Amino acid sequence: MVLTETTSARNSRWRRTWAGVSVIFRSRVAVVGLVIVVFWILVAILAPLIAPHDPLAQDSSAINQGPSRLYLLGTDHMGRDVLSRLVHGSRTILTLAPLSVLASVTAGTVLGLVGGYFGGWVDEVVMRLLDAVMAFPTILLYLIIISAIGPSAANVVIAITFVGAPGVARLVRSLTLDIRTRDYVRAAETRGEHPLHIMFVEILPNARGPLIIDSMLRVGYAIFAIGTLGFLGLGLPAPTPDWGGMISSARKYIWTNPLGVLWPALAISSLVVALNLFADGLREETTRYQ
Amino acid sequence: MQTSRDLPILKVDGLAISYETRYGDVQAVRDVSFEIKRGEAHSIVGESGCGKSTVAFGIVNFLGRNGKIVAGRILFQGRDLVGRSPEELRKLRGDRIAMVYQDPMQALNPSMRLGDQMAEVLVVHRHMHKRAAEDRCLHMLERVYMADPANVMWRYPHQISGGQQQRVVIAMALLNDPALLIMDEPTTALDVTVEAEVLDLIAELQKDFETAIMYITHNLGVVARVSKRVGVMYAGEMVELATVEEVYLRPHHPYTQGLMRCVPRLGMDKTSSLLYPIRGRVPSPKHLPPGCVFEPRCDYARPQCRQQRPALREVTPDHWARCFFAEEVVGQGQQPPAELATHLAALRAPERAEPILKVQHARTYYAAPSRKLLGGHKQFVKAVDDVSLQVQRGETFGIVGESGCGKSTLVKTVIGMEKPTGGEFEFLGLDIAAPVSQRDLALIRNLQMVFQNPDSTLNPSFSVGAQIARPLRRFKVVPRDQIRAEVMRLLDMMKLGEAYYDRLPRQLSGGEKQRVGIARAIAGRPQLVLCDEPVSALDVSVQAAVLNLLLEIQHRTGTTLVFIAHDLGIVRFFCDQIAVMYLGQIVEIGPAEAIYAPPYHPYTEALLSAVPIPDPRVVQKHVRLSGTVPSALNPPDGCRFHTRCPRKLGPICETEPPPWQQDGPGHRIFCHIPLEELRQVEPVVTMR
Repeated sequence: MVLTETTSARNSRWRRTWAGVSVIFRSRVAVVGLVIVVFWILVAILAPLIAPHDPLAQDSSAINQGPSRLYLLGTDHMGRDVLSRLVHGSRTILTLAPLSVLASVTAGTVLGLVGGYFGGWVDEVVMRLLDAVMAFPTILLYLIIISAIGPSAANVVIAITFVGAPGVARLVRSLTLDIRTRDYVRAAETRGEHPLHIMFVEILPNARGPLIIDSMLRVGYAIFAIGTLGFLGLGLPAPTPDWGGMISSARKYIWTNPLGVLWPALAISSLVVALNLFADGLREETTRYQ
Repeated sequence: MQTSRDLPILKVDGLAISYETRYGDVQAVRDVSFEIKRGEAHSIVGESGCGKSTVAFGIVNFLGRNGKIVAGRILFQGRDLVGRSPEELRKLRGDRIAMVYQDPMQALNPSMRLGDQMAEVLVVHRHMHKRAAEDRCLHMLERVYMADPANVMWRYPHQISGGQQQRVVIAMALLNDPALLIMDEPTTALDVTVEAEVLDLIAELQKDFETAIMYITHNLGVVARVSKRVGVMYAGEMVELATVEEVYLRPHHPYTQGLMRCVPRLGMDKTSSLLYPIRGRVPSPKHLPPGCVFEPRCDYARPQCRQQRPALREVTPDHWARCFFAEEVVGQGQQPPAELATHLAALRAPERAEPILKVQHARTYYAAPSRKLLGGHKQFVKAVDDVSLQVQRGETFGIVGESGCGKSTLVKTVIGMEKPTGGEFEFLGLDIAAPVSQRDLALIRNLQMVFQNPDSTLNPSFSVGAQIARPLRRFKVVPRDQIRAEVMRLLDMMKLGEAYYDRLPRQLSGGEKQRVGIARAIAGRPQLVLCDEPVSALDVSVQAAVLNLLLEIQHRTGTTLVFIAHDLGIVRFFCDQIAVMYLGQIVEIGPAEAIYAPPYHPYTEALLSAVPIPDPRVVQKHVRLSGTVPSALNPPDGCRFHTRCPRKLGPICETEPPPWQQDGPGHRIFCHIPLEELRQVEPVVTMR
């Protein structure tokens, strides 16, 4: 009896989740985006199997070459296979970008909830601090942070978190300001619930829609930012395959091997565009009923 | 031979309208026929979703991209409007049909002066000269009895009151001298006293103009006041059509009969004003029953009703009903079954013991931002100012008043969501002036609240079961392993059934959401539940069911209820003690029967006179308040009501705060006028 009860509960929960997910398939734009994203995720997971060469192996007989049968997308200035570097580079970018977004969304959500729910001087202090961070041009902020704490994978994540959190906080705060006026929040208050319960259990789940879509877009921005940092030489240390870094080094040989710039640039843009398509399609489909 | 005068302005014949949706076409309106003659006001009444607004939109061809007329004719001044191109329609109709909507603030452009907005109608449509247009507008404002029209022309919409705004909108609609004026719930967003003003105006218009009026509303009381004929709609069909007298006194359709039983009436004495709700819920237009649309909820249903769809037929001369057994139904009368009457009467036995809640000289002020950049002393909005009341254990205490009178603030202060500025608050003998976060858990548990808006009372992210379980868990009402069983018991008590446990709020109707809200409030078995207009957003038939449920719960659990409302009819039916509030103060307090009979406070008298009563036999005294409610930022000195009081004595009202005058046990009136004089006042509501 108990067993059937729990399975039926689980069943309905599963069905509900599926109903939520199936929204994606109603939007063609979202599906196109999703397909490209899934493609890159598969590439990243299967990188050692797909990559025809070692991404770090140098072939001194083939430097800055165009596409050939041996090197499908050509080689770079040190004779390394561009395809293999691209495939392995997807691993770093697809780990760092979601990680940094997760961190900035977590930090931003907490700040936004606190500011929006408590209001008053707490809100004032939090928002003014965030305004101060947002007042800096993004690139400048990246440069300052990375040059202060040094280039490394972890520091790239920290930098992106720092730059991204204020935006998330603003979004969550505005959602909180709206949701906290609802009667169910007042009901929780009249039950004497702890503010943490009200913020994270009553308010946050109802902010999830816009927050998820914003996060998708942010993953795109983060990929962009990681690329930019790589291009400026502030990304991952030298031999690691990194798309931004690849563009940066290929740029010097653009006249001898123009395709060397194209491939990593294409990789970055396809991923960013796909994430944007996915997020946009999702937003349109979820807001249609409201 | 019909002359053109007898020709109806509007004749709707067999109208059917459907909307295209993702799930195929949905028939929102089927087989609706009625006609409106020149100078006649015709009401269409029905609950939300019955298709009454869709009919109106069909007439003005405003159905939106997915709506279309699939059958029937709409004859406007003898010419058919159906199936014509928008261009032809415009020519045919000209500007001879005007429409007035629910919210006047949305119909007026907030950034334009009212005079300019009104004149624009004539300048653009009639190519009138600006000066001539303005003169005409001024004249029209006079005709809708607007006070100081020249001044109003220069104002912006936000500078006049809601009632005046609606007056301007009506004047604007009349500018083009329409043959047909469609009004879609024009008073629903307004307070009772303001509503009364607008309804008076509509009655005047019928005398002054030859315009035919189609009046759409859900409020049966309003219908009785504005129109002679009424059509009752249910689930997209016209189920009954006759004069107001006929429909109200001799309803031939079971649905109409049910509606009449659902509405609390001011005219009746308390014990006979029992509400007898219609069971079940309105069918969704996607899944209509095959036979009569009302069959699943009908007490008289027979096999024939399940198989065949009845037609609208003339049961007595000029009285149409869509029921096979109309003659039988009318014979059954409107009385609820005897066992229900005794059952509900048994529920209403207050055990007057000790006071459970004691509020003395309560004050709640909000600091208003200073107008000046620097300096200037702080101003306060006196939302609640010196309110004292006592609630006895086991009784139902009603607080009535119009919006902004401070009734919600008072309740919020009691429950600890607003910090009181002063006064003493005592609940169960404990001081409760502290905010809710500093209160003892046991205290919190005993003081719970039911909210007004069914759409926001439940958290959309959690299932019904989880939301009812939360207070059980928090207050440790039952051991952990019995929580589920307890939730089921509560659902059962709410007459919802166990299937609701896993449902999400968006799958529930308004009434069901409100029941879950009540279940959540009583889950901790509180001794006092504060209800903030728990039924004002619900349809009448649902309203009655929820109210009866509250009564039943009160009887079973012995809970004390504080019930806020703006509807004097409901309060009378429901409450033992009533406090009438005006501008942050209580003006009259006493047992329910005492409030509804003289002596009245002049404000109570005005409120009672304003309430639309769904009974054509009732005669109400005509008392209307002038002016608008003064700002609570700077309330008038002396008696706060003196600026609008029709019985103002003189300078004493402006300078001296009135004394509390005692009339009988527990009945107190806050007024300068001597009690003897107030006792002379004849009752507001009398039967003809």
